Amino acid sequence: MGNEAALQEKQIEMAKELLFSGEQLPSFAQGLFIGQFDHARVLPFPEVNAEEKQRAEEFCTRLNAWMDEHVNADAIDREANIPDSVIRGLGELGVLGCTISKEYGGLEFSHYAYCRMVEEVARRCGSLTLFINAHQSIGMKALLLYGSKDQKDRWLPPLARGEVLAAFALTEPNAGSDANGVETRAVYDAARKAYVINGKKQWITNGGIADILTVMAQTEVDTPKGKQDRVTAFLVTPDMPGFKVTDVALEKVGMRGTKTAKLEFENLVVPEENILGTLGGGLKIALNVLNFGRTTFSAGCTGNCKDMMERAIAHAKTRHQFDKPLAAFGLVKEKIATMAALTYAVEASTYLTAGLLDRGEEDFKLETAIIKCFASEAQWRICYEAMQILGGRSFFTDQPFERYMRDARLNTIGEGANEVLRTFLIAAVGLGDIGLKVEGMLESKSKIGGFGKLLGFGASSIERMLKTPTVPVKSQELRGEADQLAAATRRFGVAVMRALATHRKAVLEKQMLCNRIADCVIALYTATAVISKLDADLVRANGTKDRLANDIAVAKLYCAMAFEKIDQSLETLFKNNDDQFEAVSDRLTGGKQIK
Amino acid sequence: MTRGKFAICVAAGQLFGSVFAFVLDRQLTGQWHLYYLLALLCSVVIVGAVLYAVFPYTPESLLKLRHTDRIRKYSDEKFEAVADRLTGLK
Repeated sequence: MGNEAALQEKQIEMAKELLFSGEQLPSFAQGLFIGQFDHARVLPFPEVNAEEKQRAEEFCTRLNAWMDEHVNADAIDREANIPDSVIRGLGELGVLGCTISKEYGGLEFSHYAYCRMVEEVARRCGSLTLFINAHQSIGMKALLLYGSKDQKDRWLPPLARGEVLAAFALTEPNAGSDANGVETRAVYDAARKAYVINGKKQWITNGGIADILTVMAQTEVDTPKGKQDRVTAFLVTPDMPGFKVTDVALEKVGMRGTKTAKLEFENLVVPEENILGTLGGGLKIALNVLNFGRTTFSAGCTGNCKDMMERAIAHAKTRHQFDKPLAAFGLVKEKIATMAALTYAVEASTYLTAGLLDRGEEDFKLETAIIKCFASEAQWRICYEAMQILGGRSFFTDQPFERYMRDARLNTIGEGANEVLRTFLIAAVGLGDIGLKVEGMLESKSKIGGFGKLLGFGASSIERMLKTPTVPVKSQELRGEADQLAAATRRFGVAVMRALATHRKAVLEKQMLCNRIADCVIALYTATAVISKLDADLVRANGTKDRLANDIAVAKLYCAMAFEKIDQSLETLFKNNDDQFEAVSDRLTGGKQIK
Repeated sequence: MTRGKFAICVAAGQLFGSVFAFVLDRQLTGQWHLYYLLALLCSVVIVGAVLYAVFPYTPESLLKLRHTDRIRKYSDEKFEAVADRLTGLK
């Protein structure tokens, strides 16, 4: 129990770290946990201006033309290598520095434009998508966000020109999703004014070929509670003595074109001016970098989902069995419609989140975790359905589906396994945010005492929880879905309060319950994105009449699927077979003794 | 009708019932029971407050939900219609 208490304390500390300091409104997704629908944030659909959109489209046209000529995704996968000429070409096009500001020679893309670019690359090649994201979306992100002027002046210009590559080194043999648990240690050497780093890193994309790496290590920091270990981020270059690449390219299932490395640091001397941000501030940096990375991750899923869906539809229209096209069979129709609904929702959620980031929202950890889970799971489902439609044809390497399947397998694992994100981030932060405000309630010994404190949570919060919010869409076409979304939001808020009042602090240990809470909030957020996007398109008559009619049918179907998911999750929130699952698992693993 | 009005209606209904029971009790026993009266009044207030706070739907929202029930309907036709649109089958 002592270990459990310590672990829980650590989780709460991590949740506090995740919650931004200072007074600010909860993010849109956090508001859902108290039954609040902060419509001003998501309606109308947040979008960049027309000029930025046009710039992104023109860039994508150029990029596609270049990829037609230079990128052979099958060869990249087969040879497990992205040719130097491709990397050079990406650099010359500006892809490798497109998020860097113009001041340093970059293209200064908005999140929207970056996501559009990633979407186009992902339509063709998962390895290339991951390579670009590992370099730009997480590799140099800490430098962009937290770098000093000197650090930026030195590194950003060559990064913008694509002359040097960046990587992000967090994962270790004993630390992955638990970012706070890194064991690599940096000890200050006052004589050299430098830190001496020892430790190992693994599964670092671009780690063995990068020219600059953001490395996370534990450092001793003075705190009000005395000296304590805190994670610090360091800028490391491979020419530093003690830097060793033990494996430059690990063999792997998918994303085979990328080089995934194992690194070792033996008395690696890093000058103190290479600290990124503040000493001991690395956890926030790591989590923030990953938050940004998850948005672009979803953009990659969007591109791949679209491509798989289009290929499956084309096949279903042309392949005939029993004198009918496959598209005429009910089960094939179900698959096509499911793929279309999920793809629309993945796209809408990705660009809603990108729009929120472009608008300067400071707190987006829940939203990015939600879309990462949703997009990667949708991509896996779509891959399965597409392969079923193509049947035997999908099993052979002359079609890209087996490559897509191997590549997609990473996405529910990488940048935080979905199970971890659902329970430790989405549910824990959502519930934790309310929990921190009513900490007394969580620590209460009795249910009645806890409920009493819950009622004291604040009249405004209670009213928000009990009042059905409004979802003010402009299009009458979506009025019914909007009402339904509002009702589902309120019901979810009530269920969350009930879960907190029933389980108090132990709610975070109820992972199956937390997973259902995560399911609900994922469905609410994605349905919001779908309604908001379609509402904006209908109001602006954005698209042809036929396309809008398709979008209406697809979006309404997705909403029905999302509301069904919420119903199922809420129905089984308190009446379920979780104990049976736990009991069987514990029997087989000796679970209770393992603790 | 708002949730508040709905709660007031229900509480008023209970108040009427309570007074009726109280008067009936007076008729049967020949005495006014003050504690019984207070308990009834308290229960009216509590029922009204609980109804307001806990009951999730107003009659209006219930009607609205019934109206939008068809949206929730997870029907095969919806899937077929979407697929037919995308494949151009119809």
